[in-house]
Amino acid sequence: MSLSVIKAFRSSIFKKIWVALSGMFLCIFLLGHLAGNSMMIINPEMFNRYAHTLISNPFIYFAEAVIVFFFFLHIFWAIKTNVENWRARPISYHKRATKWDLQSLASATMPYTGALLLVFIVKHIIDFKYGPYYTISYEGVQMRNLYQLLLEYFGNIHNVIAYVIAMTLLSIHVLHGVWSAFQSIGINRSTLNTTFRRFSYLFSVIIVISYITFPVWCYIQGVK
Amino acid sequence: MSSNTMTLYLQVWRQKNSNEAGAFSNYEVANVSPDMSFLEMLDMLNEDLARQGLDPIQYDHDCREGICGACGVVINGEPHGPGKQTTTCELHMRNFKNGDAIVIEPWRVKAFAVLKDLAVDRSAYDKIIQAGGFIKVNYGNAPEANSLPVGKDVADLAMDMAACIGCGACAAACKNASAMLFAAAKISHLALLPQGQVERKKRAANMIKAMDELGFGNCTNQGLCEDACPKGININAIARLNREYLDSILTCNF
Amino acid sequence: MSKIKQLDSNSPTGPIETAWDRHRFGLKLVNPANRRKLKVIVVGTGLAGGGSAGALAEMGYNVEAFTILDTPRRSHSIAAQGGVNAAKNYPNDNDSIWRLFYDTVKGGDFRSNEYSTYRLAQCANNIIDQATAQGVPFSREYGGTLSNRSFGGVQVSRTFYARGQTGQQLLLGVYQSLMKEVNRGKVKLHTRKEMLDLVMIDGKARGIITRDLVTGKLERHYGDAVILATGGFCKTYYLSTNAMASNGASQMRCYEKGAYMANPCFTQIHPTSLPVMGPFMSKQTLMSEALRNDGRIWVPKAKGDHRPPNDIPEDERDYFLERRYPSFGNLTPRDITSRAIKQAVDSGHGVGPTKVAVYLDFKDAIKRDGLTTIKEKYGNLFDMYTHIVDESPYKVPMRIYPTAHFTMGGLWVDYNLMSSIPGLFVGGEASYEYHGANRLGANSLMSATTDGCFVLPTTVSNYLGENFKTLAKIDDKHDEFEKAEKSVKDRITRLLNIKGSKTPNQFHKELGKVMFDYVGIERTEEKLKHAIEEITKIKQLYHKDLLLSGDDAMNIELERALRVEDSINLGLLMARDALERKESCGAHYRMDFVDDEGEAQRDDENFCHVAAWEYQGQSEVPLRHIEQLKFNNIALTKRSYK
Repeated sequence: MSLSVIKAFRSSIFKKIWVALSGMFLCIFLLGHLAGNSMMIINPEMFNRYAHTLISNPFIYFAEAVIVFFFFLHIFWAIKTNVENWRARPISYHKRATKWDLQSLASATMPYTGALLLVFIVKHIIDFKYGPYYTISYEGVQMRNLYQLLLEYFGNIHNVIAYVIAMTLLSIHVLHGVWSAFQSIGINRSTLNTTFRRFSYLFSVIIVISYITFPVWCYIQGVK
Repeated sequence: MSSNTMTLYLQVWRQKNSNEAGAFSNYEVANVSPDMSFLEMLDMLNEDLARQGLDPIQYDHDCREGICGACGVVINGEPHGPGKQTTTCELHMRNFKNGDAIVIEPWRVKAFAVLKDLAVDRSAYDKIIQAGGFIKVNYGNAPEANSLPVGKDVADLAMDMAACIGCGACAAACKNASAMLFAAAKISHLALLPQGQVERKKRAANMIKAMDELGFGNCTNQGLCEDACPKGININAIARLNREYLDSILTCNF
Repeated sequence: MSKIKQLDSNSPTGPIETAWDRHRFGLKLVNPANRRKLKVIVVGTGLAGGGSAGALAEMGYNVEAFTILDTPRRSHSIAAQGGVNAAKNYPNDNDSIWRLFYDTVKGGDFRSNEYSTYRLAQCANNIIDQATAQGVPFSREYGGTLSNRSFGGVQVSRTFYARGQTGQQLLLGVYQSLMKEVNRGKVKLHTRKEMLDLVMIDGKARGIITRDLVTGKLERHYGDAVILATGGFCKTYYLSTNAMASNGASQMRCYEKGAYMANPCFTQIHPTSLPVMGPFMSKQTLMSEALRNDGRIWVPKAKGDHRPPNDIPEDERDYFLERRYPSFGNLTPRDITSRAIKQAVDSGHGVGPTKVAVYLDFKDAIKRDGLTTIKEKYGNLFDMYTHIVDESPYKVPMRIYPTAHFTMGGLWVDYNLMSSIPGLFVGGEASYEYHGANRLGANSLMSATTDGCFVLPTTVSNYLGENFKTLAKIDDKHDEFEKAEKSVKDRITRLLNIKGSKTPNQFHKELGKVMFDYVGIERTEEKLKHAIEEITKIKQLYHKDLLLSGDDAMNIELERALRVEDSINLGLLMARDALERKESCGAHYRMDFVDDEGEAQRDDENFCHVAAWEYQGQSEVPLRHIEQLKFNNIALTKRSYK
């Protein structure tokens, strides 16, 4: 029997490998985004300059393309997987025993948290990338004042709450996602399983705490 | 041992054959002893049905000691019912209380067609094995057994994987009706042992190809399969399968 | 003139060590180009059936394999826990093929064929090699070599094992090899199909009629030879350690077509199964014999002692096996242990709520070796016990009682495993071969695998080679197929139309009770005559008062009804055989044939033979033919475990 490697790339196992690899990339992106965002707390000027450097660099188009590509990969295979999965059980169980621990909840809700996060990301890009354009000058260089936009945006408590919810969803998504990626690409094993589980908890907690800090911090700045 | 008998209210999936639609029927079973096994309770119900001139409930069963893998129904949403590492035949009625309502359904997996009532067709698992779950060695004079030493840890791990009874609970429990744990157990068993090395790469590729073609869902690493597995096979097996498969596809010469 | 025949087993003669090799050299071969023109039908897919189907397909024959289960991987070979014997002598404890042969013949109380049994002991080593090559994960030592343990009271460590699941692992090896041939297109697999008749053309077995258990459709399958490997028939006792499908229906189908049934009275009653918990019980779970290595069996000295076991002081306990058999103690062979347990219970010393059990106590072992050691050795068995009985053997002694476990008897076959019907071969527990009147622990996997993987492929080839030119070209339109299918159809219609008041299961339970009480551990002429009367009554009533619900499509009750009908006839034959065997040997213990100490008294002068029964009609008494057994290599001695 001859096997097509291309076909194998569409197999059930490769589907989750694609989701895992793209997910890992997106997690790294989250960390980078986190590092950039944290500058807003250190110094508004530093933050605005960082943003300016990023968007004024022609390399940004390539970087954005890469990010979009991985998002697309992640979403495409996730949707395909889920559609096939629903088809694999035409009649669902009348009664289903549900486990209520966080890990199980996180894994069971991946398609839903994922879909909500997609909505969030679209809104996030509209709100910030294509949001109001304030300017500011540092040493004669004019640039976008993203900091002002942030303070204004998160001055609204509804936006803060929406972000806190979205970041909680994200942390739930990565709680399963990070461990799952190690499992999918096959480096998990009995001796490392606990480590990977702990790592995914740690990652999830870091993401939720740090990303929630930003809107809350902005809100507090506005109140002051 | 207890002598208090129970009355239970069953909701059982009845389906005449694989072509007709099924529905639930309700039955009341009295005088259930806590020492009965779940299948003995169903036997008793069938005797009642026979006396009423009704069609008996079809279900698969054979050894009734948890090794053949023939039995298996979903009891209140759990394949093989409550309790860790038990098959339906090993489940005793002392796990239920007087007056309990019990929903009994067949494995709901597209690749396992319902044949009648609670009996499903699991030949898809045979087809996965058929695609490569073996070592191609003919009967006759095999080499002296001790000429090929196998480390105890490896042999023990291979045995953990080989313990699979092919009952189908993993696919039944899986949110996605995926057979990944089943395939992982067999591929692991043979990949771990030195005897399985020659066909190792082809085996993983061929068995997964067969599995995908049979209409099972995809694995999303939820782990419901390992909770349902009556033999305690762990999803680390699936991680091993993933790397076996990756290795197979990326480095194969075929 | 007497119609009683002296059967010839076609055994080789001369030195036993080289007999199989010499015999094989004399067997006919089939040219590889001709093998693809021949088709073999294999009924049953356990170690014997699945093994022979796979092996014959590898050789190039076309094979059609049938199982009543949904996949070959579930056949009852799977349930053997303990292990498989082979005289590899890895532990260097002076084991040898000769010793394994000797132990098997002596263990079987000298009622098996010497030449066949020697071949079995010889082939055992191949099983280990073969299974290892197939990827069976046998337990290993740290150095990577195979591990052995002592099992069933033998004094050498010759048992190979894969945890407590040796049968499962051997079967999966055979199953995987079978699926390899299915994939190659050499084996056509038929699952959920039950053989309901044997079809004979020109006096030779040429095909079978099956019923598709899903659709109810009757089908005709023809071939050039038929192998029957459908296991034992312990379900005749209703309660047994066997799977629900372990019935003798397929053997009875062949028996009624003229195949002889040999030694049906030899049934092994295993001493350590869980006691009956209530009338609903459908099977009794076996607790591995290995438990007797550390557990001590006892009953209270006083009759009807109701105290909880831990309240009974040491000097009020009767460790009856240690008392009666001081040199073997708790490790006496299965038949002797079962009998001693039954005697203890019958004399009023039984324990537990039903008083039909004895204690198997680990208190001393835990004290001696520590809880951890015992947990390591028997943890899974103790858990299983707790699961079923809801008591912890770490705290209170287990309660055990004997139950039917293995049928040494089965269809009569010659040295080539061919029955009295030419072209019908029988292997594994379905035949009577090897185990005589009692089977030793870990010998059943050995015999089923030997038959399937090593003997049948050779001897079936010989038959096909001999008959290649004369076997008529047939297809399923042949008159005999028409006739056979019609008779099966009539039988199903007849059962469905009785419309009586008792379910097949009720009849089966009644049969089982008679069988266990009167054709069980202890037999007497009186009991056996009573059994024949009772079973005849059950048989008559069955045809008048059977209640069968459902239709002739997929129907769990109809499956049962057909098998129970055959079980009743088989039970009758078992009782008849037990009545005619006027001696005690092995598992067949006649209380009216004992020595001065109450121990079994064999009668080598009159009964050193295999009894092979020939069917004469539904209400006729069958003929009892004889295959004389000769012991030239092992002296006939009294089997004593005192």
